Amino acid sequence: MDNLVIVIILSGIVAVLVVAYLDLVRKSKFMSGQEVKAQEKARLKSEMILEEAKERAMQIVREAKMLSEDQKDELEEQWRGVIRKVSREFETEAEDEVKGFRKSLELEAVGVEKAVADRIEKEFAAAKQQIEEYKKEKLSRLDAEIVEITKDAVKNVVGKVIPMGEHKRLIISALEEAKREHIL
Amino acid sequence: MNIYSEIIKKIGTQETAENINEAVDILCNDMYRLNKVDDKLISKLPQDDALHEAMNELELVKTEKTEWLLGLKKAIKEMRILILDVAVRLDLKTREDVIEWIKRNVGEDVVTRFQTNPEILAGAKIIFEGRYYEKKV
Repeated sequence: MDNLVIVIILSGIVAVLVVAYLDLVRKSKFMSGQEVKAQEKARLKSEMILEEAKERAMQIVREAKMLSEDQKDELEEQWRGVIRKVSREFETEAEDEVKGFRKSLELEAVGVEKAVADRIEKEFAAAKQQIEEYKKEKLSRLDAEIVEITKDAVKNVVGKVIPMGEHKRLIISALEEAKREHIL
Repeated sequence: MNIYSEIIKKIGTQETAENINEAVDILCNDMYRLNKVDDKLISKLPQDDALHEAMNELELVKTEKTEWLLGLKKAIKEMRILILDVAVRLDLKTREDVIEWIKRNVGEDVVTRFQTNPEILAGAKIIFEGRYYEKKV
């Protein structure tokens, strides 16, 4: 009996142990599935994080690129502004320089013109004086020659010489008559 | 009495009047530029009684010499012209006598333009202020 009891007890113990073992095995199997699931989940999550990070990085890169384009435009605009300003300043300065140069040139031209005018005037006065002297000399010669030629011509036409005194008398006579006639 | 009358009475011919006008132009130019008359220039101007008189009078003018010169130019421009066509070129003495007669009998402000005219053998053709008279052979 005792043996039976013992056998029964032992059988019971073995049965408990078997059940426990099986439960343990089952639990162990269950735990292993859970772990794989967790790992898979973690992998998926990490992939998702990575994907998001990648997307974010790409977004940042895109934004950085856009910002860079904007800055480039702004810089170019600023540069153009600087060039325009410098150009204007240079232009103004050049204009001032040209004006100054023109003014000094004009002043110089006036001086030269005055000097030339003086010179021409002096030369002109000297030439006029020479011409005047020459004219007087020529006229006195011509006077003498013309009187002779006229004397001859008149002599040929009227057959007698009209002296200068007679010319004068006739001219004065004409003037007197003109005065009497209220022409003069 | 005109302030230029002493000069005007010495201007006998139109040629003299033109010479004085030219001289006045030169002197005016001198006055504008230098505000004085260049003595060397005066000595180079044609020697003429009327111009000589003008220069003497100009020397007496203390201020506004340019105005005085322009006044003289105007007075000369206003002189009346008598055109006298004659047979021959008259000698200086005869011309002076004719001018003297004209100044005395017609007016001191009259200048004479002598012209020789081959159509006239003796005597003269006279043109004055649009009127005409001739007595010729």
